[in-house]
Order: sequence, then structure tokens, then C-alpha cells
Amino acid sequence: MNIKITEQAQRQNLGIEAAPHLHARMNTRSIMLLTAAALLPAFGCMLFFSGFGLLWQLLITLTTAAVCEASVAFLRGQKIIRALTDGSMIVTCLILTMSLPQLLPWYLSCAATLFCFLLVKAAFGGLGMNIFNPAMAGFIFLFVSAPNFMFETWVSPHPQALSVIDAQSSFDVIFNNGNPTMLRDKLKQISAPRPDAFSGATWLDSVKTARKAGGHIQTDAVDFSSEHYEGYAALALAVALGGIVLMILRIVFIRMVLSFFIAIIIFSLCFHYLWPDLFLPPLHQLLFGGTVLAGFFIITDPVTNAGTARGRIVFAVLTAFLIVLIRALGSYSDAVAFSVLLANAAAPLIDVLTKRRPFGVNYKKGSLD
Amino acid sequence: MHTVEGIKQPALNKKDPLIKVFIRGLWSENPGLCQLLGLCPLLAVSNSAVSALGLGVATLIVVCLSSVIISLLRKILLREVRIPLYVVLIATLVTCVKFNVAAYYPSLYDSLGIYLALIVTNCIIMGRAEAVAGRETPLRSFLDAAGCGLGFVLVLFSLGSLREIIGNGTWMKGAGALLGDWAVPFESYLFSNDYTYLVAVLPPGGFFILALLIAFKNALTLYKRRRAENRLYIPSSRD
Repeated sequence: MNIKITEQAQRQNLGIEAAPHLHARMNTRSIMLLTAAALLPAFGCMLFFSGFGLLWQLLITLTTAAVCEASVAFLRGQKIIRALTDGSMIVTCLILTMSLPQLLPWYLSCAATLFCFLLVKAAFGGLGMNIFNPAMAGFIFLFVSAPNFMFETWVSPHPQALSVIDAQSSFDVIFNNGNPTMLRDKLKQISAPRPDAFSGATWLDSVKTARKAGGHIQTDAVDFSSEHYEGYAALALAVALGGIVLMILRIVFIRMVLSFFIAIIIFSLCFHYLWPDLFLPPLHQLLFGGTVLAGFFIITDPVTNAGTARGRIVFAVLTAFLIVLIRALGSYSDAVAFSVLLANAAAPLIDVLTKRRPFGVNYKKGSLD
Repeated sequence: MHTVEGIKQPALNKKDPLIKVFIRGLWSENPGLCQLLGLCPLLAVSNSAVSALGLGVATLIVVCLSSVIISLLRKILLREVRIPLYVVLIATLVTCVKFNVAAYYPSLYDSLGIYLALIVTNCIIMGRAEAVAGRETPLRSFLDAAGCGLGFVLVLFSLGSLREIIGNGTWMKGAGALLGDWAVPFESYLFSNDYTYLVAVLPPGGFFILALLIAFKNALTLYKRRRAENRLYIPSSRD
């Protein structure tokens, strides 16, 4: 393996860290393919609870991403096959698909993928050089650009989703400008009326609406073993299953995942105790939205998180803090994507602040005597 | 060897033909794309094509007038206090333009808000006054200022058009109300709200699209330079 230090990297002191160097057990492709495999249980679970639309979305994002990656590799004069098979594309597409609404019109999913692969990834230098998490940036691009679409096309998880939203009906909605609201209503009518029939697109969204109207958050009505909410719990478990496999294989940083979840629990416990009307309790923070996915798969992205061991913990805690805070005080209902991007922006600073002291320099006066 | 385009700016070469002075501001040293001057109004008012055009034209008028007047007065202005004198002069001109806009185009005046008055602090005007108008003849200063001003108008207008088309699906919307009846035929509604990306009219969209415009210009310049280098290189390699 030859390591090239470019002139620019040398000038910016971005070269190799000080010795000792360890040989890596895996290369990028095997890491990425294992990560993608670990995402599959979560993807399957989501497919079961939100209908066939998800598979169409994956098809759209993967096709668009492949076109983007191939054309970028062509323009840069790199090998196209290599760019297509390095696996990072599949992981990004899986995460993006799981965060986008399942019945989104095809051109919007296309636009998000284009933004995420061309502007967020390729414009900064491609694989390994991007400063922001591409999937989260693509999600925010759509979230800010077409908010009403995002709310209309979201399917709240339901055990019978796959029978209502089958291949044909979801194809009509996604590719032929069908009406997503009709499908969603059909799904809602199957189940018994909810104890807390929520108005918004997602549970977090309705909480946000209630809070803006000055109402009270009904967290007691949420029972994670009931028909209405078991989807959320199952999804979180499926994501955690894949994440734990990755932790055992040492692909994700264990201390990062642990500190993230501990921080979420501590922050939400404290804040919920202090301001119960404003902040959600820990269980709800964990199971609703993309918190678990973020903890295992998004903040552990080796490219966009901090580069030092202590820095990664700071990064995880910062993201957790921002998630809890933005969920309560932000004007958008999603917090994970915004928090991850803010922490990404802070990562270079965290690197500088938590730089390791090289062995043998800068001892305190008298400490060697 | 790494030089940043537009930063190294020697005083204008006396031998330069007049047309080159004009083209320099318009393209090769464009204030919006190369010098990156006046970014605050560039990003703030460019969320619709009409207001971008309005502010661009106001800036063009001020920069032309101020350059000519400063160039005429350059022999009697004291070098030591030239900056305050320039500021007073530019502020006077901006106030005149502002009152004119308020009188004849009141709705444009409302939509531009504070940015019309802020032309005083636009660094393009001060930069032209300092770099060229204080040293050159009125004709050369005028051509230089017109080139820079027009370059700024073009960037502002194209940025505004792109942002409005992508973010709103319209082009020159409200032109009739803001600019007068002659502009009504330009108003066009291109596609419905289902296909627009709201982020383009929000502040981040301004940065994205400006960055893409700059990248486009740099790519063009680089392409031309490479082609010229290749043309020089090929005969020698054949020998």
C-alpha cells in the first residue's frame, strides 16, 4: 500500500500522524460493505412497517448516485468501476433512503441524491474528503426546500403497511404523481383509533405543533407495545442489532456510541425533570425520530466525525446535546440531521482542541524530576 | 506557485487600451466573481431578479458618477484626507439616488430596504475610487467604473434570476409593480410550486449558487489557459 501525501496536504499539515502506525485490518470497501450489511435488518424492518415505497426510493437513490459517482470519476480521470464498487455509495444511499419520506415523488428523491453526491461529496473532493455527512445534508436540502412534501408523504409505521402500500400503489404515488394522502388515510383507517390521534406527519412533528400552540405533550399515551407504536420500537431494536454487530467487529467506535447514548439519556433526564413541558423523557427521545440510527450509523461516519479519540467523545456528546436541545427549541421537527451537520462543522475545531501531546514534549516543569 | 485570482492588483497599466480597461471590470476582474466585493448586498437582495436588477443599476449609477467626479477632482483633493472626502461624496450621490428611487419607484424602494442606503459602504465603489479614479483621467475612470458596475449588475442579475427560477418557479415576478409598465411583458411563470426548491431563495441557496457561478467562471478561465498552454507546447514536443 502506498500512501501519497499531496502538496496541499503537506502544506496544511494534514499528512500522517506521528508514529507508531498500525496496519489496518480492513480496507474501505470491506468496512463499507459490512456497514451496509449491518443496515439491512433495519431496512427490512422499515420496509415491513412503512410499505413498499421504501424499495422504490432505494432504487431511485441508488441509480442517481451511481450516475453521479460514475460521472464524477470520469471527470476526475479515475477508474469508474472502482468508484462504483467502493461501497460508500450504498451506505449513503441506504441512510438517505431511510431518512427520506417513503412516498416522496421521484424527482425530489433524485434532487436530494444529486445534492448529496455532487455538492456535498464530490465538490469537497470525493470519498474521505467531505466535511459534512452527505446523507444528512441531502435530507436537510429537501427538508428546507419542500417542507410540505416532506410532511405529506411520510408514512407512520404500521404492521399492515406492506399490504396497503404494495408495489403497484406506491409506484403510482412515487412515479405518476399519485395522491399520497389517500394511501396514508387508508392505512390509518385499518387500525383502531389512536388514543392520541396525532395531527402532524410524525409523532415528533405533532409534539412540535402542540408545543407551538401552547398545549401539553401527552407522553403517557404512548405505549410502545401497542399496535400504533410497536413499529418505532421494532425499528430501534433492528438498528441497534446491526449497530452492535458493527461494534463487535470494531468498525464503529464503541466509546463514541456509548457516550452518545449515555449523553442523550442524561441530558433528556435532566432537562425533562427541569422543564417537563418542553423536553421529552429519555425513552421517547431514543425511540422517536432517528436517534438510534444516528448513534450507531451516522455520527460514527469515519470521514465527518472528529479525528482524535477524545475528540470523538466530545463530538458524540455535542451531537446528543444538540439533538435534545433542537427537538425542544428548534422550529423544524427534525433535530438529528441539523445536530449532525452542526457537529460536523465543529469537528475540525474539536480536533485542534483535543490534539494528542507527542511523547516526550511539553512536560510540566519539574514533572520529570 | 499559488496566486489567488483578483487579489494581486497593480495600478492600471497606462498603456492598456481603453477597451481592455472596460473588459477587465466586466469579466477578468469581475467584482462579484473574482474580487468577491460587495457580497453582502449580492447575497441579500438577490432572491428575486427584479430587486437584484434594481440594486445593481443603482450601484452602477453611483459607481460611474463617483468615479468621474473623483477623477475630475483628483488634483485638488488632499491625499491625506482623501478617504473621508470620498465617503462624503459617495454618500451624497447615494442619497440622491435613494431619493430618486423613493420618488419614482416606491415599491422597489420598499423591497430593497436598507440595502439601497448601504451602497455607501459597498467596497466596489470605494475600491474603484481608491484604485483608479484617484489616479487616472476621467475617461479611463469612467470606463473602468462602468465595466465594474456592469459586471456587478450582470452577476447580481444572473444570481437573482437563477435563485428566483429555482426557488419560486418565476422570473422577474412583480417587474411591472417595481419597475414600471414597460417591464410587464418580462414577467414569466415557468413552473408550478411542486417543482421548486425553496432553499434557493433562502440565504444558503445564495451561497450555493454564487459558489457554482464562481466555479463555472474559474473552470472557463482554466480551460482557456490550458488550451493556450497546449498550443504553445505541442510544436516543441514534435521537434
